[in-house]
Amino acid sequence: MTRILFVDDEAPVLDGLRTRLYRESGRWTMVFVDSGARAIAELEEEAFDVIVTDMRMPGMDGAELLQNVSERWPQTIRIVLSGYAEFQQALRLVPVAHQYLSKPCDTQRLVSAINGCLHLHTLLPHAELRGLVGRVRTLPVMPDVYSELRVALSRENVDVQEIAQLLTSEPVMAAKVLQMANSAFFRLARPTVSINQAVSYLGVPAIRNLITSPSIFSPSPNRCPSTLVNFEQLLSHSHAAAAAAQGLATSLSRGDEALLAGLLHNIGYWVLAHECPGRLADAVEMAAAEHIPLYEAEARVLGSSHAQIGAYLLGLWGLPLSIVEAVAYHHAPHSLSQSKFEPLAALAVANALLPTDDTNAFGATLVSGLKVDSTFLSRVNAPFDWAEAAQRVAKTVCAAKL
Amino acid sequence: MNSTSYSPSAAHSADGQRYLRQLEARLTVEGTERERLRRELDIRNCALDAATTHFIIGDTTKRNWPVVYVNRAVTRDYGYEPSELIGDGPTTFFSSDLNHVQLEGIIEAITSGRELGTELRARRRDGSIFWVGFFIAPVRDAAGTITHCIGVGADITARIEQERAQRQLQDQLYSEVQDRERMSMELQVAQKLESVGRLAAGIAHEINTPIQYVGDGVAFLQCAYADLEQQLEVYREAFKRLAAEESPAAVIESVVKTQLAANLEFLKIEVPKAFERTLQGVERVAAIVRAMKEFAHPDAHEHSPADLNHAIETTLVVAHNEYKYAATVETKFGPLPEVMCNLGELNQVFLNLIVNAAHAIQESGKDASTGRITIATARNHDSVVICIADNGCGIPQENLDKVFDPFFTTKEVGRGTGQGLAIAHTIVIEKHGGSIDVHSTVGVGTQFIVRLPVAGRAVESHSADSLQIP
Repeated sequence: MTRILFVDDEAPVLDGLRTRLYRESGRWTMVFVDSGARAIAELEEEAFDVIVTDMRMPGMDGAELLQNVSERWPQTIRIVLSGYAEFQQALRLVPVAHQYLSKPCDTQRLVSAINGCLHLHTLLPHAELRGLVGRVRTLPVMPDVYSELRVALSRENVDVQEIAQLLTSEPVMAAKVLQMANSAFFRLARPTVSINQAVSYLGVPAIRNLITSPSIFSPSPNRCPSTLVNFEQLLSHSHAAAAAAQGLATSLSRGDEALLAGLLHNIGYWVLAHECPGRLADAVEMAAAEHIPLYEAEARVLGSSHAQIGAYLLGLWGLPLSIVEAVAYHHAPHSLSQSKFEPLAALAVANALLPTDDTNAFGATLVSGLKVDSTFLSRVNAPFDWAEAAQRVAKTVCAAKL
Repeated sequence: MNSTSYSPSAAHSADGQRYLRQLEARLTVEGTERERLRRELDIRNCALDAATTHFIIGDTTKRNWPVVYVNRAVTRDYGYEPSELIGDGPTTFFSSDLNHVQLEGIIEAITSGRELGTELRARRRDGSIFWVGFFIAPVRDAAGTITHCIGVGADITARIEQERAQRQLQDQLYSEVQDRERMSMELQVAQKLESVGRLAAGIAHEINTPIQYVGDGVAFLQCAYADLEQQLEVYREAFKRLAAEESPAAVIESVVKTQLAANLEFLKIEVPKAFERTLQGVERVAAIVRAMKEFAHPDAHEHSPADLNHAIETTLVVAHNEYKYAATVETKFGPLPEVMCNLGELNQVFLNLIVNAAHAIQESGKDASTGRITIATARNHDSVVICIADNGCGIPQENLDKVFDPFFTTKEVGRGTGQGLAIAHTIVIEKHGGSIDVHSTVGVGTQFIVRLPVAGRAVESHSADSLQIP
């Protein structure tokens, strides 16, 4: 049975949750404790799938507790449920919390957030890999974009468009900003897939605090063995995929999702290069030796590929399901039955038509995987044919070169 | 002496001779006398010319009162030759457009035989203007008819300038004092806004917690009611079947089968508790809202009698989130008479002192289990004494006499503007005629002692009174 740990220093809040959730007691084992220290003791007794904690508590506060949990029980999904709204304090949660729920929070929202997280287990069945992703607190970001962003944010009249544009060119920062914008915890946050909107919901001061907070982004490329992955190339492929997927999207609103799917589809490589470069190197070696696609080699070495690992991370961060699915299945778009031209389809078609792909970042000797063709287009009821798709993608490639 | 009047008849008589001699002698005497008078006049002229005082004599028997005499001071200070002034009216240098009112006053006074003092604006030959002060008096002949007027005056530009400068200085001082008053009021408002802003975030959190469990409680009760309703339906069905004379054993068996035994037991325990918790939560929200209203409301400018123990309790409710993770608060309230005060202002003082105490405790690394804020109140003759003590980090000796200075703060940016104690000082001392003292030992704690006269501020002096400069 799924085990969930609730932590809050207010006894009535725990009692309220316990009684309110009594109908879930058939499928969840729920434990309620009133302090961080007791939570640690419970975890030491037996692991939990999800922890839901208050932020401000005497002794060990929520941020400290989650920091502990991320180190010792990384596979536990970490949710904050708090009424505490001070941004500087909330910022301490950013590296360690997966989702933020704001008090008062109706139970339906809490239950669906927990269910959403638990559902992610199907993406990454191996607990060990979930732990690997759960350990992630900071991810490396491209130093040049990062410093450009800092300069742009330090101007007297900050240009919100410019900030959004810079964030759109950096997958890790873009994902983090969207994670925060999609949580009711921060300022005027509302569900959105548009980075422009995310920036204006959070506000420039919040973005500035987020970007300059040393514990959230590490702009040093040296943390990844550069001999293994050429991040510049990986990123430029992500940019191309983002532009092409957006160009293929059937409407403006889906365009934002498609763009994000393209930008974020390789974020799993950031996790792998950061958390287990050795096994990624093994996979690259295997793919070269056996002439198999790299994602297949990853699945053999690790149990899952960068696609699922990245999707699991984005899912934990509460990004919309359409994006999580697009990232998870971008190498196997057929495995998800869909009859509409969703962001996944746009991404798959973009990847098939672009001259570059993931493998370029790992040297030229690797073989590319299977790619979709015109039959896929008709299966997802795309409103255009393969020739037009090719034309649209070519146009974005041209635009990028200009 | 040689040229005398000649009488032919007398020339031939002795009498005539004597008369002539007498006449000659008299002439000599008169000549000498005239000589003496002229010399005397010359000496007086010298004296008049040596004076820096202006002397002007005008002939009032003629039109425009032409000038008949000016001394050297006049010619020097006004820049004219005497010949340019003698014979002309005094308006040459006291132009009527500058001195219209004064000139009318002079004419009126002299013609009616009175003296007067006046201030005039004189124009020099080069056109420049300066201030003179004049004493003007009529001069009568032997018959008592006014024939001349004499003015005695001096350049008073320096004095007038000085006066003007002084007046300007006064005005400036006055407006500066007003500015300062306004600024200190604005600062107090700003500090109040700052503390209310900070409180608002804290209160949102304080209210969030009960709202969370009240919401959970009601949602649970809704579910529980649905479960009970379902159970009730089972019993209703059973009744119907019993009424239809079905076998009781079969009915009981089916009831037992459908009964949600575990759930019912759970609901039996939890539903009453949920009701209680929900009501408690609502009461907690209501108490916070009440306290907030009481805390913020009394913005009236008049002083009125108030229960300070109750006010401190209200402030503690409002500020709960500010100190609850830093310290436990212990109150030792003595019986207090009602104190004449502006409660809104005093609440701000209590809030500032409590928040400071909490910050000092956090600074020392203590938390709710070891941090202590003690608030004691007592009556002492005609005053009440409120003592707010903490066991926080303490204030170093060198900072102790600066804590009430505006903008003095050792807190990090964003934690406070350094206004809290300065404003507490102003409110207690200036607005309530009380006193505020601080004792502190580094590493042990700090104690603030506020004394307030029960009757309020003794003299209701309006702030403008203190501005009047003699």
